[in-house]
Amino acid sequence: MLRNVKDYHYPGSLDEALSLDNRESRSFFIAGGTALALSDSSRPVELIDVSRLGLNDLELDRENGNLKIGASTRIQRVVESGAARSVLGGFLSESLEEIGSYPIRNAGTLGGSLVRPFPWSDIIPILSVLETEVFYYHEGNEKTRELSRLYESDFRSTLNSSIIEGVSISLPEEGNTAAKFMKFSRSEFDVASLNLACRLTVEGGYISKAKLSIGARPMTGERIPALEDNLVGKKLTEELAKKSGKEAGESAELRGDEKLGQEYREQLVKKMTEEAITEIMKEVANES
Amino acid sequence: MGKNKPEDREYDVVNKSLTKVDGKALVNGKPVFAGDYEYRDGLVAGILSSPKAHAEIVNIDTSKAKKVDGVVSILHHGNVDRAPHTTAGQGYPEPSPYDAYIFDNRVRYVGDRVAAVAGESREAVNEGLSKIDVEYRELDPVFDPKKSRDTTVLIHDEEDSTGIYDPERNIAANVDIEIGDPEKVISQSDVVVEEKCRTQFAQHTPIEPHVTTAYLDEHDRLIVKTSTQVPFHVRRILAQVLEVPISRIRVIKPRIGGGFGVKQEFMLEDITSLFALRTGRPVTMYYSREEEFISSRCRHPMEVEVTLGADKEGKLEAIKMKVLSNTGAYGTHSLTVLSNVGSKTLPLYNEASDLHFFGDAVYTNLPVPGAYRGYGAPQGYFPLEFAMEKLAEKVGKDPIEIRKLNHIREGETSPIFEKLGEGKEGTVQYINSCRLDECIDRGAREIGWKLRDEKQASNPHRKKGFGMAINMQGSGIPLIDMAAARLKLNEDGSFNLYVGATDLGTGSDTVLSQIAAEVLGVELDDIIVYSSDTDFTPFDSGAYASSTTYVSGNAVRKAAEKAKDRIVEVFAKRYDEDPEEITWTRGIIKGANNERSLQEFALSLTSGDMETNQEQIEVTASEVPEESPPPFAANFVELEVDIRTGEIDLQRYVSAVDCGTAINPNLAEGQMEGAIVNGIGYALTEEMEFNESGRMTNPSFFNYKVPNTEDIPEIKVILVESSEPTGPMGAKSVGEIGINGPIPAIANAVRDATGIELTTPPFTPEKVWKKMKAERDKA
Amino acid sequence: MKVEFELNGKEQKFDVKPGEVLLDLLRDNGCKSVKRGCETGDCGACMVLVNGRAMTSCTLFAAQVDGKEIRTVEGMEDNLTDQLKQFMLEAGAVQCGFCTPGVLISAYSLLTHNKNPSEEEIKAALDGNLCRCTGYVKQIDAIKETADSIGGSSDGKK
Repeated sequence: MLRNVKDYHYPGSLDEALSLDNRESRSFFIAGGTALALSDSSRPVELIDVSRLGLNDLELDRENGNLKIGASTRIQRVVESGAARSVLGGFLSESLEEIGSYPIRNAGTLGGSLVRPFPWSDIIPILSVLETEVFYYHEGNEKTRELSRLYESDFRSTLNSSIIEGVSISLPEEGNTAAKFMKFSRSEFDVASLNLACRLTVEGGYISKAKLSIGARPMTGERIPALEDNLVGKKLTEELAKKSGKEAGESAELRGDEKLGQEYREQLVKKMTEEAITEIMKEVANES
Repeated sequence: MGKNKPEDREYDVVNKSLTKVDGKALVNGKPVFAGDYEYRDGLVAGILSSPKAHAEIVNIDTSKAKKVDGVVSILHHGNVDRAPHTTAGQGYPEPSPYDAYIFDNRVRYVGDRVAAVAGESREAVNEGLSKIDVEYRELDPVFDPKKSRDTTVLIHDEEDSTGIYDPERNIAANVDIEIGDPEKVISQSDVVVEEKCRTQFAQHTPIEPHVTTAYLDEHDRLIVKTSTQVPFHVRRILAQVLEVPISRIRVIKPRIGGGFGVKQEFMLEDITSLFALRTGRPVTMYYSREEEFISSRCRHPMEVEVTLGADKEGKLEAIKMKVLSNTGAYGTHSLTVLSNVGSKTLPLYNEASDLHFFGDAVYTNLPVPGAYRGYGAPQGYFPLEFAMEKLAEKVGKDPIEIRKLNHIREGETSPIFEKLGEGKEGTVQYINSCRLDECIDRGAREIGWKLRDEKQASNPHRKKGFGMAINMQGSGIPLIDMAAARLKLNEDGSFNLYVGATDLGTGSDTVLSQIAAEVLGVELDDIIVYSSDTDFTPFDSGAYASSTTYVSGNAVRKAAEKAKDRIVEVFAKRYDEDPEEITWTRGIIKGANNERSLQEFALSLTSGDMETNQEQIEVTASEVPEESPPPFAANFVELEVDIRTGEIDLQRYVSAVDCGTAINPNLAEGQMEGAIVNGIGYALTEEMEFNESGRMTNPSFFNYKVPNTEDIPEIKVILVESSEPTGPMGAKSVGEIGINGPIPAIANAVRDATGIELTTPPFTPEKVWKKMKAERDKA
Repeated sequence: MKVEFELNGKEQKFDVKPGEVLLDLLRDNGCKSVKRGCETGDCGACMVLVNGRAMTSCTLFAAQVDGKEIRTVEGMEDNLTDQLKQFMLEAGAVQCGFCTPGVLISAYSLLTHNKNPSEEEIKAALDGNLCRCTGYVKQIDAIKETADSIGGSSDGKK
């Protein structure tokens, strides 16, 4: 917990929030507060409460084929929403349910999880394998950026002087697309020691689109473009799943830490990739 | 099969799953815990703990801290008497060395006490603590218990410590018991099995961390309200270290938020009391979760080696058990936990006639293990039950058969009972009740033991395994600990029941009230129970060693019988009846010519109706157990191991337990279920980890993984009731036994599934995977 | 700074420090059912309902709940609460009772949003409440029975 909060603000607009943030003192945006609770600091800080900026929509726009989720929307609300349940046969709600515990999901917001991307973040790999655009407010304008590019180093200073307003997830065609999220942790209530999300679009038995993201490597989630490229155009078979697992284990950048050794992480990536692809294969087969 | 089956008689109050007498207050969230009370003009206190594993304190400068606004008082070794003592809440004279000090000029582990501050607010205290300047002279630390005996670094070379087995070799305690000539017998045995297992540091993690308030009452007596399992021991130790007469101290135990042994310890009472005495104000202190992990108590890590010698049929002839226990920086419970590794395990297999149990508890510069549910038994059962499995395999017998061939039975004894007690010799004891065979059979049936080879894993990447383990524990500490209970009859026929026994969440207030109500022929609601308060309740050693149901239960039973006898006597006198002819059935007292309801009689007792026979009926009874009848349990596990990742999917856990008569079946099951899940955490996820400086690196629930709802398997507890002739209504205690099963049962099941041998819990997936890989690489 | 919120049905104003944690505020104002177990959001003993949702009050600043509705066990007195308490007691789901208020809050939050939870859903809703006494078995039973009693069948069928 932050032990030295010297001021707490409730800005009424995005501009006001940003101007408060851009002052000299050290400040944090706060919504659910669950991510901030993990920071233990006695340095003086100011908190800027963004939960009153109206960023809590949760809207399924079938016409334009996307799901909009405001930054202040609480994770559990997304989990329980019909809108999220309808994404890829429940993929979104089921995987978001793997985050934290019930009270954490009740308090924690989507925006909070994106602003403070913990290395073990589940939401980053989950959203990375969907087509997710992040809306952010910067210098008086609303802008968008692809989620998987949100944490690129040349974007850092922009992100630091922006407010994340929410995300828009474009709804993949049902039937030939499926996704899986897998999480490995020390116990059920634990942050990931490794997590992986995979999504494949299959046409006539062949993969036309592939996304694979691995997190808690122990570094923050990242897509593995080389493997994704290798999958596209291939026939979806158990053989391929096995081969891709091996490839993923070898090509993902993994390290050892106090939770898991590097060799074991490689083994997990291998198994999880293979299993994710195999399960997607079964699901797509059932759907079509 | 045991003869002592449950009595045929029907009970009215006992043997029923009545709801807890304190349940309403608890579900309503009433302020009943030690930290919930508010005190006018109260102070809070905090402790500065050592950042060094081993150092001498050269200087403490508190001048800056004293100036902090709101800091009221500071304690450290320079202004507090050393007062050598043990923090172990054990019966006097304690079998633990006096090697602890309120404050010392030496710190012996990261987390050891350096100083304490009392102040007006938590913020003031924290600031005060941060402004104490301490100059340390670092000493070499010892972290490896294997090296501790043979190093020049001495952890307790101070002159005023006493009772240490060998301070020159860092040995806090030693046990060496030999019966017969096991060495020779083993050398001639047909089959020999050797096993070595190493268990880890683990913590109790009661959800309520330690909390204590001390204040002076209007007569300047010291009142201490504290989260303790041992209020009377706390009072005695406080008197000892403060050099204040026991009569000047009152210790109150309100509701307790779980203990599991960690509150069988003298912990915050000395500091809060000293502050209260010095400032004249109420002082409250609680441990943060981090402090609870590091600075309270934990479980003794051990290396235990077992050698079994058996004939070719699998009948045990000899058992050798060698223990190296790590007692950390202080020797609290070092000798007794070490003794229990053998005394709670070896009698189970009394078929073995020649026994050798020996070992040391050694000091290291690590946190301090103490009493923890099971108290050494889990550490002993792991290698023993692992070895039994191998013995079964070697002689070609089913694991069930090998146990049945060797375990103790009704009417039998073990020389261990006599030779190995709590820090001294024990007492001879014959088993009066044992339905272990039935526990085994019913557990086996429930898990599907016979058909286990036919069961397939849920997918081709997994292997299925079944495992079992049997255990015993005890019920109290014979001829050392005691309990007393007092009953007072009220004018409406209700009774106040005063017990020193300490309900720390176990439900003992309810169980003891049920026993009293049964004897007195009244409803549970007619018993108003109060525990525990050294001013008002009679002495009880406390809630530890599975003692409450059996020992305190017997005290209550005796008190209730005594109360009944006295009521009959007074009735006889008043109405001129023959006491022999008076009958007592539910609430009605009946003589040859007079009949009164208990209620009527109670009202008249203190009225003119009784003329000169008016009397407040109030009785006290004491119980000193002469034996410690063991509960028995048979545990079975079904699991699957993912051969790609080493993940253990614990699917089912069945435990059939002989607990004597279950005074309250629901609560007895609850004790088992809680202990089983506690044991599952110990087996699979829980471990205190340390860096190279001896600092615990995971002192939070974020990183020390206690099982939650989603980690537990399907759990089935089967109560196989027997009737223990020496127990209250045939009862034995079951507070601890459940924790002995998970590690060996799971290890046996993993071996059954994969062939690998896990000897160092927690059995993390990575550990399992590496073992499997090593096996594959070998093959 | 001033914060204003509805505590157990009563609109209340508090003068707080900007960094004051809700757990401390509630305990200082008589809500002792809110327990201090870890102060890191991991054990669930300090849970309260914030606008009807279970959250850990140790990870919330008091300022965050300005304008919201807070309910602690002290202020829960409807039929669902009574039933939950009764089934918890009867099932033997209360041992030391220290985690009990938090468990009640989680269960209440679950059952108000899902009248008919499956066993898996019950376990998921209780995954933030550590209990060292019960092994969870009887807690899960009690919530199942409550769900049955209030009209669902707790078979998880929607």
